[in-house]
Amino acid sequence: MKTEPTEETCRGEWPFAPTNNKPLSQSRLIWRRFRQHRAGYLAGWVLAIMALSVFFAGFLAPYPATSPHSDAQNLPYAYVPPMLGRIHFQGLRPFVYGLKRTYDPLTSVRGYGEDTSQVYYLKLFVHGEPYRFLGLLPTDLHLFGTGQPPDSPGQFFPLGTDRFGRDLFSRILIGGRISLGIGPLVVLLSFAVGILLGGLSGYYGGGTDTVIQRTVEVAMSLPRLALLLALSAALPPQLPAISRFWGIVAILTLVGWAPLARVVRGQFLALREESFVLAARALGLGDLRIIFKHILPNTASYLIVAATLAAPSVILLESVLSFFRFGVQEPLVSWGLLMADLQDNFQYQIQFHPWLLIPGLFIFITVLAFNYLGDALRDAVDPFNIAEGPGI
Amino acid sequence: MLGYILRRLLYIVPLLLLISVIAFLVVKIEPGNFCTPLRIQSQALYQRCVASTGMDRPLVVQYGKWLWGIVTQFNFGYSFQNQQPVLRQLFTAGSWQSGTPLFWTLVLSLGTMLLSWLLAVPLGIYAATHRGSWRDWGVNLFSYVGLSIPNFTLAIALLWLLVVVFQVGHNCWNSAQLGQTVCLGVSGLFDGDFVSAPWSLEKFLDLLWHLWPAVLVIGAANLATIVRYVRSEMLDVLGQPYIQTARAKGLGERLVTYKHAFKNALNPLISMLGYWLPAMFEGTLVAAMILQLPLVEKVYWTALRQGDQYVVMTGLLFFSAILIGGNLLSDLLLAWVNPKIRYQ
Repeated sequence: MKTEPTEETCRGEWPFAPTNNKPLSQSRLIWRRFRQHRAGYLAGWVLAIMALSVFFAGFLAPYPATSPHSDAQNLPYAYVPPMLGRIHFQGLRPFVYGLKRTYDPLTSVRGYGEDTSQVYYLKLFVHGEPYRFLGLLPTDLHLFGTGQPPDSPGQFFPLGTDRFGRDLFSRILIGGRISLGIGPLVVLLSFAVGILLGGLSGYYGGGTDTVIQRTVEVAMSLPRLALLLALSAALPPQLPAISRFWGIVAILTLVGWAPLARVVRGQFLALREESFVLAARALGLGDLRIIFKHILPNTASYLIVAATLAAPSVILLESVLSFFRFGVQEPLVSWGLLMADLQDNFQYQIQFHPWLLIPGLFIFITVLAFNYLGDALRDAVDPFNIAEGPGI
Repeated sequence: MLGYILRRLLYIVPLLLLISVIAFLVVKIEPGNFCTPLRIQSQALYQRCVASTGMDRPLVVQYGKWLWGIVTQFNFGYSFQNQQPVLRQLFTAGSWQSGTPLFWTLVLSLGTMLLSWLLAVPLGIYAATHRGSWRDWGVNLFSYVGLSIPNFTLAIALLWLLVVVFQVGHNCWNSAQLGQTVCLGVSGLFDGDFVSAPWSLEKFLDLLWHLWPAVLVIGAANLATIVRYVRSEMLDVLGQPYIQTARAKGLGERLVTYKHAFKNALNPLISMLGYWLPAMFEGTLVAAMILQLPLVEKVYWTALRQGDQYVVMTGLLFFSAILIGGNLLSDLLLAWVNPKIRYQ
């Protein structure tokens, strides 16, 4: 039940009261409100940490993403279970035992055990397999690892390996570049198209508006996922992986621009009648200058929110596509693609190699964080927001 | 109102026509077709195949023939892969015992929709009336989780739970080779013999047992979205002055919540009903592909992988039609419940 607001409660409830009589700028107000949304703030940090760690993935990961591991007989260390629980300590020095193939003649079970005669210490800043730091600088320095050659049994696979003996943890870190990057990338491109078309539509109105709006309607009447699958099936199979990646980006943009264009149009329609636009026109400024210098900055906060809220669906779509092998392809890595191995002989795989599900957890955390962040930003930029109170 | 509906219906015709062009082009730019594998065998065979399927004609002619068939005979083409008309392949293949794809798609979509609304509305009201408490917090967290979990991960995780943790598949055996109990048979809609068996209580129970993971996979994101909408609508309405008036009159909290607040919060929600069927499509597609459900979506997916061109085109057209129909329905519902909307 609400009490009648008195002057005291008003002052008390109003958290944005200017201190030392200086009015706060709009962006400072937004930042304050954003800070108050604890979950959103936390989500922002989570995303920042994730972005940093995939940016320095080559160094943080103990192995390069595509390097297979096998024993001296050239048999791959396929589907080694996660070794996080197999770290032992000698005093404070962590070590792992060498990998040993096990075979139980009674049950014919093949697996991996620990060869306690071999001890491999885990070291920091170890010289391991070569890679290019940030794609440029050739180096072999890794944050941690055993520093053994790829055919040694002394490997440390924190989250296990896939069927070629490639380290899942390293692949998750390096695959995060595509999985995390594709959301902002596609949203940015969609916005470029959306701002151009939506802006033209909302600013000029009339015939331009009608044509663009009909196009938007057609684009929004197409089933997203079904069309995505059909379009990526249309990419030629002999295309190199990197061109295919850009093809996927283009397709995702093609499917995603329409709703954003609609948001932009609504904003432009509302703002074009404002007096400051009239003033700008009276000063004789060109249309493009008015659009980009006067109208766009005024809608920027709403557009940023719409972008943040649009990113999760792009990330999810990419992972679904890659999971069904219609998206990104080897040798590139993405979280969806890492789970694609589960598909062949599906029920066998989830029974015996359940660690292949771990990339899904990363997709989940990323999308969750984007959703919280987007909601927090939306509440923060809305000057009339009083209903929700501090978020969870 | 009638004029408005008619206008909207008429407007659908050019829209669908444009979409049919897009669907046709998308499928036709795909490299390879039904005849491509024959090319390795012999060029003559390939030429004969291309000529007999009409794929050597110009694209405009092919499209024209396809469209003409649809308009005059409601014939959406032929599935070369399965040697049957597209409509049969996509919608009505199967028997009364095993059900047809269209039947199962309708059952699953409508059933999931009903279930998620039945669950989400009370949850949303509960969260709104307990705003700020730990229960609201819990519902909120749950809706965020439901919204964020990738549906294919959810499907796999569910199967993992069923097969490995609970070991509840119907065909379990102690595998000597693998050294642990193996359970298969949690996907699909029926276990082995039940597929073609006549309907019985046992078969129905078997169906229900297979249906719930699918319902969960399809419904999770919808449930979360509806809960969020109900909660925010209810919060909006509960802050209105007339609610305060109702309370001041001395009405009980229950009456205020359900009669005054919920009734008004419902209006924008009703308009979303039509939006829901197409929104569930993505979840249904993923569930059908992973859980091997014999739905229209599964047929579409199989056709896409086999290069069965006319099935893919018709599938795209069908899904678009549902999308357009859903949007139309939601617009009409909105106009119906909200007298402020003009039909111009």
